[in-house]
Amino acid sequence: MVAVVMAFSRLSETESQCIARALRRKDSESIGRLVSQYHYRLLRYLVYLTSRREQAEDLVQETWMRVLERAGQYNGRSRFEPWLFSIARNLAIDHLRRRQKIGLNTPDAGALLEVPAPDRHSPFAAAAKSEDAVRVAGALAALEPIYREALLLRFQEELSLDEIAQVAGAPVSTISSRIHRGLAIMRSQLEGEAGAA
Amino acid sequence: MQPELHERARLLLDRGMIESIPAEKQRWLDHHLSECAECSRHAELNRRAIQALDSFAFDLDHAAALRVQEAVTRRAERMRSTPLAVPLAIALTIAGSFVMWQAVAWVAGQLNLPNRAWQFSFVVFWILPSVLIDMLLLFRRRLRYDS
Repeated sequence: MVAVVMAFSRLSETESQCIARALRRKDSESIGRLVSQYHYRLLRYLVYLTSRREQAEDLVQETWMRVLERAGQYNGRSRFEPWLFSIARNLAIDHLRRRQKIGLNTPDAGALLEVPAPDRHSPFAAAAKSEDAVRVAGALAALEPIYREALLLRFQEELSLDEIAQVAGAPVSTISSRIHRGLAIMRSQLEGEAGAA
Repeated sequence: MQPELHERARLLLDRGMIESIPAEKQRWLDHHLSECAECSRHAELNRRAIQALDSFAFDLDHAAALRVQEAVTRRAERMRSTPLAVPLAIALTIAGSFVMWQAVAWVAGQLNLPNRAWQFSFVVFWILPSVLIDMLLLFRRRLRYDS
């Protein structure tokens, strides 16, 4: 009877609650599936954030280790993605801090992400799989990471503005203007290319 | 057409990209777009920008992905297999120390040893090493997790 009740309660669990339970119990099989399921999305987010493929690869593993350590903090009441991305983001900022040897008392941690992206060896140029993507790859690489992040989280990850605000630790209005600005830059890039053609 | 109408249309178009807009405004926008080539062009560029984002595909290094997966599952297994190690070590230290204390007190009584002397020796040769070993075990476990 108890087994039936437990089986029923598990059936009624949401995906987020299943993830939270697996993380709390350190269920290696479920965690392995989770890592595999989110690998690409996490890598893509970190590439958008750091604009460095190798660094993003390193941060993926660090993010999952941090997820295991902080498993108790995720209760499954909200979606898993914003929590995962916010952990990845904090790690990326820590990395940039270490690399730039900036003290922990830097007033705005988010400002650390406003490092101009390197235009050489852009991972975006390598990942562009359509003509328009090739056109905007340069603009994307030169765009400040906070704008790329907002675009990715809204249009690829389809997070709500509130969820993006939670990940980025910024007000919804700020996120909204970052998306608008990012879009405007991409639009002008497409328009300019069309005009030049 | 008045310039502010175009501005309104573009603001609505951009807003519509990130959140829903009221039906009445959407109807007005649709009507405006049907008549305005410039604003239609703006809408088309927005659509193409999103499609361009969709068409970025980063090549996956499957071997690296597998390595990450294995490292994370190994860590999860280790964290699961030793959840009671620390409390168990502390409990054993306390219980062992209590039993040993009684035994040493009995022996010291038989040998008429001064209390201060055997108690000091007990702390130095039993309690301190036990605590030290517990701390080393805990520290080793942390190091293993961090590596």
